[in-house]
This record gives sequence, structure tokens and C-alpha cells, in this order.
Amino acid sequence: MKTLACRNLGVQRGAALLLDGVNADFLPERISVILGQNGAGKSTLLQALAKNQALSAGEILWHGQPLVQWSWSDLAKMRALVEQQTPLPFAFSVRQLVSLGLEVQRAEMGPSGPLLPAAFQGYLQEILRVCDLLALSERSVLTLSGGELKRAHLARALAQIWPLDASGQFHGKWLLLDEWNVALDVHHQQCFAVLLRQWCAQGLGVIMVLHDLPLAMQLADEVLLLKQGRVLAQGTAAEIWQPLLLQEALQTRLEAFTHADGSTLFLPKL
Amino acid sequence: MVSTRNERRAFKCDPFMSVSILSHKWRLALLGISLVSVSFAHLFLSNTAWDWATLGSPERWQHHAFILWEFRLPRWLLAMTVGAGLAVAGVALQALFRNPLAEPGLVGVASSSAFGAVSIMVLGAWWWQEVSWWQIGGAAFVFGLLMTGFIYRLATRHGQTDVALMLLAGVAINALMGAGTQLLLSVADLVQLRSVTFWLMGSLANHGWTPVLAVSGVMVLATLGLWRLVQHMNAFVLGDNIARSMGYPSQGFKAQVMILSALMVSSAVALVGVIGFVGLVVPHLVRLWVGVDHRLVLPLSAIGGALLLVSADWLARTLLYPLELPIGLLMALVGAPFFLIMLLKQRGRWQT
Repeated sequence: MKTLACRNLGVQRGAALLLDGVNADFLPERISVILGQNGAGKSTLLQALAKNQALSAGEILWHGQPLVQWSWSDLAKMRALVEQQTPLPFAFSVRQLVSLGLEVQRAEMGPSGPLLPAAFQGYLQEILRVCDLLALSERSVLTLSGGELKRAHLARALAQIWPLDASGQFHGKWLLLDEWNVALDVHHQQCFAVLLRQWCAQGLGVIMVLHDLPLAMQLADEVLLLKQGRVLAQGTAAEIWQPLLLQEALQTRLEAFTHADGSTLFLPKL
Repeated sequence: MVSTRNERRAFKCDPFMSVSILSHKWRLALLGISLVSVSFAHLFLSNTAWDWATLGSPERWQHHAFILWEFRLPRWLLAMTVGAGLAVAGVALQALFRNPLAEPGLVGVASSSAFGAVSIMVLGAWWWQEVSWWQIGGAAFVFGLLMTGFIYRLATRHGQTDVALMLLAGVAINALMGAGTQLLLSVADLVQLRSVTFWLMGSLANHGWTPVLAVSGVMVLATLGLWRLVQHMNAFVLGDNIARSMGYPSQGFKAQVMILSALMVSSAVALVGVIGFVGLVVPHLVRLWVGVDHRLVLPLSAIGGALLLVSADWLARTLLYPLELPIGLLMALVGAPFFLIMLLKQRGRWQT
């Protein structure tokens, strides 16, 4: 089974324990949401999964093998990362930025050997279209608004793992997202959420850090609750969406709204 | 999948596939033609111009050939390679600092190299009878490399460069190294004082073939070394974490960029003194022209730097004939206002 497993993970920075004894499993074809307060270690865990964070204890098993044994170039073709904020000092055009992501896959392209320039442009165009960036494709990233830049980064990450074989499946690919919805307008949040669902059905594993509780409840298949660097709870959405547990994890009072079809949403109580 | 034979060929000759310098034929042609014509002017036109009418007589021809071979040709080659090298070092440092304002002169690498060179010129006399050019170059390299690492440490934290800190640290280091150089000059004897002062003014003239070829070799090799890293530079400027997640770990990359750019700057400084702003002006103009993709910026900056320094050297030689303007002075006259404009432009971007 191609899962990501954290075994007794510890991360230390200075005297502070950012992560302490974290055990967690992430499944493919699922949207896993990491929830917690500021400083709970959510981003640290995500960066550790991306091999960007040195571990002080424990290990991460990536598809059954220790993460440290995977080469950077192999990992690059299996998972892509979108960070909270990545300021860009150079005036790349949106198209250039996204094609940098697609070029990661240049070595092994297409069903019949390396990808040809025409096919490359075709995939690029397709990714730009999916992320609603066609109108912005020649704009410099320095002139984009925060939400537009975030979409460009999402497209760049997506291009890195975009399926280039005939099946169009995402099996064995992972998308690591740190608050992808921040700065995105509601329309694009909704579009992208629907797309994430769709890609998950095609084999993609998504791990995301979120602060937006309603969105998390709408999207999540699996949930990991972190508190002060430790795992408070992990399980399926149905197991975790309990008002007492959430109030404990997020330190906030919640109000439940029940939908006509019986599903429940929690909103912070003002 | 439909593809023409042309596309197949385009892919084969292009290691990075979707962007190739070779597909920008008219840009290369334009720069090439400019470089050839400026080189022609540099080699053959000046106030002591070729007397084309007398070329038929053998002794005139010999005279011209001597001047060409012993003076103009090494000077032209030096201007080309130093210009290209400084521009490429600028591109590399800008990628390393993730900022288009990083420049060997501004961040203090050049002045540190100069201090290293002067210290071996003055203090080296205590150990050796005569200090040779490669010892000067070695000292310049060590100081240049140390200072690149030091400024990088100082100005960059968690993969983000603090631009203001970088430029201010550059000011402090330039002041410190300038003072150190003056201090060395005050303990130097008269012969050393004369040679160091002459060297500090910087000139591309009167260098023998051996050091010129050595510096050219260093420039060509270092440029090729950095050329291998262009795709890595593209990923690196997106941020440490993003670059790693795209399969480009940054550790070896940083060291290579520091060593190669310090090598280029210090070998240029050791031979011709400090020539500022080439590494700032050329990459900036190239980016305005072709965008920021390093696969285009690096090679075009190399050609552009060669073009700029050959023309500047030609002007320095002919503008105030028979006086010769120091080339460093001429570049500062052009480059400093240019830098101010860039600074104001960035400032405008920060405010909006």
C-alpha cells in the first residue's frame, strides 16, 4: 500500500519541541486535513513530510521506504508542495512559473519516450486552463494579486505531478498544501475543492493544513488534530467531527448547524 | 501525438527542453553582430588608426601586426572575458541572494578581493622577492570567497534575503576594505605604493598574454560551470523549500555558485582592478529584453557583458585621446545612476 507513515516523529528547534512523538498515517485517494492552533506544529509536519525538515527523532516511511532513502529527483516526481507564502523577487511570467513545474517531469514523459515540445505546450495549456490562469498566463508574477499568485503556485505544483500517461491517473502522487485557500476568492476555492475531490478519485493523495473549519469539514476524508506538537486525535471525518474534541483541539466554542440532509457543520460561536 | 521533424530536432539539441537559447536565433544574431562590429572598432579604429593606404608596404604591415598582436588583441580578449565574467557573476549572485540588486561591487566581494590583492602586493614582499600575478589572484580569490559567504550568512535567514541588510552590509564592507587598503598603502614603500596605486585605478591595457589567457580560461570554465546550474537557479529563486520539493537540493548548489562567482570576480579584480556595475547593468537589461529565465539570462548576459566592456574600453581609449579614462571610472559614471533608477523602481513596487 502506497501510504505515508510517521513513526514517533520528533522535531526540535533550539530548546523548543515543535513535534513530539507524532504517529500518523496518510492514505492515498484521500483528502487528509491537519487541524490545530497556531504553533501546533502543522506546517512543521507538512515540511517534514516534504523532506524539508530535519528530524530529531523517529522516521517517515514513504511508500514503505524511509523518506531519507528517496532521492530528491524521485520525490520531485511523486509529490508537490505549495507553501503559505512564497514571495518571488524575479518577474517570471505565470506561464514560465508553471512550466518550471512541468519540466520536473521532463525525463520520463509521455507513453512513448520523452515528451515533445508540442505535447509539452499542450499539457501546459491544459493545466493553465484548469487553474483558470489562461487570461493571466503572460502576466508577470510581480503584478499578480495574492490570490492570483497562490493560484499560479497551485498550478506550478500541479504541473509537477500532472499525469502524462494515457490513463490520466494520479496513482502514487501526492499534493502537500499549506493553507491553499488563503487569499483565494470563494469562487476559486470552490472550483479547486471540487477538482481536488475529482483528482483524489483518480488516485491522488492530498495532505493539507487548514484553518478554515467549514471548508475542512466539507473536504476532509481523514483528519489529524495536532495540539502543542502532539497528536490529539487521528481518524476518519466521522470520528473526528465531534464538538468536544474539536473544542479541545482548537480552544474555541463551536455552534452546530444541521443541514436538511442530516449533515452537520460547526461554526465558531461569537 | 503529432510532431514535426523540426520539433524532434529542437528537443534533441536542447538539454532543458522547453526553453533554449538556440531558439532565440535573432537575439543571438543581433548581439553577435554588435559584438563583431564593436570588436572591429576596438581592434582597428582609434586615434592611431590603421593607415589602410600603406598596408601594401611590408614594414608598415609588420608594424601594425606587432601592435595588433602584442597590445590590441590581448586587451580585446581581456575586455571580452572580464565583461562576460563579471556579468555572469552578477547573474549567479543575484540568483543566490534571490535579488536583482545583488552585484559583486555593491555587496563588497570586489573590494574584498582588491584588499586581498593589495595585502599580498604589500605584505608579500616580506616573504618573496617579487609577487607574481597568480599569488595576487589567489589572495584575491580567498578574500572574495570568504566575503561572499560572510555576506550571505549575514543577509539571508530562512532562505529569505533582507535586501536592505545586504546593501548596507555591502556599504560597511566596502568602507572597511577601503580603509584596510589605505592602511596597507600607508605602510608600503615607495615602489609598492606606485605599483599598487597604478593597479588600483584599473586598466585593461598592457597585460601580457599569459595572465590574459589564464584569466580568460578561468572565466570560460567558471561560466560553463554556472551554465550547468541554470535550471537549478530557476528553481532556487522560488525559495529553498520549493526548490527542494522540485528536486533541487540547495546545499551543493550554494557552495558552487559562491566559489565560481568569487573565482570570476577575484580573477578579474586581480588583473584589472575593480570594475563595478557590469554585473548589475547587463543582467538587468537582459531581463527586460528576454524575461527572467536563467537559461536565457545567463548566456545572453555573457555576450552582453563582453559587448559592454569592449565598447566601454574602446570609448575609454578614444574619448579623451591622448588621455585614457580608467575603465572602472567610466563604468561607475554609467552604472551608478542606473543603480539609483533601479532602486527607485523597486521602491515604487514595494509601496504599491
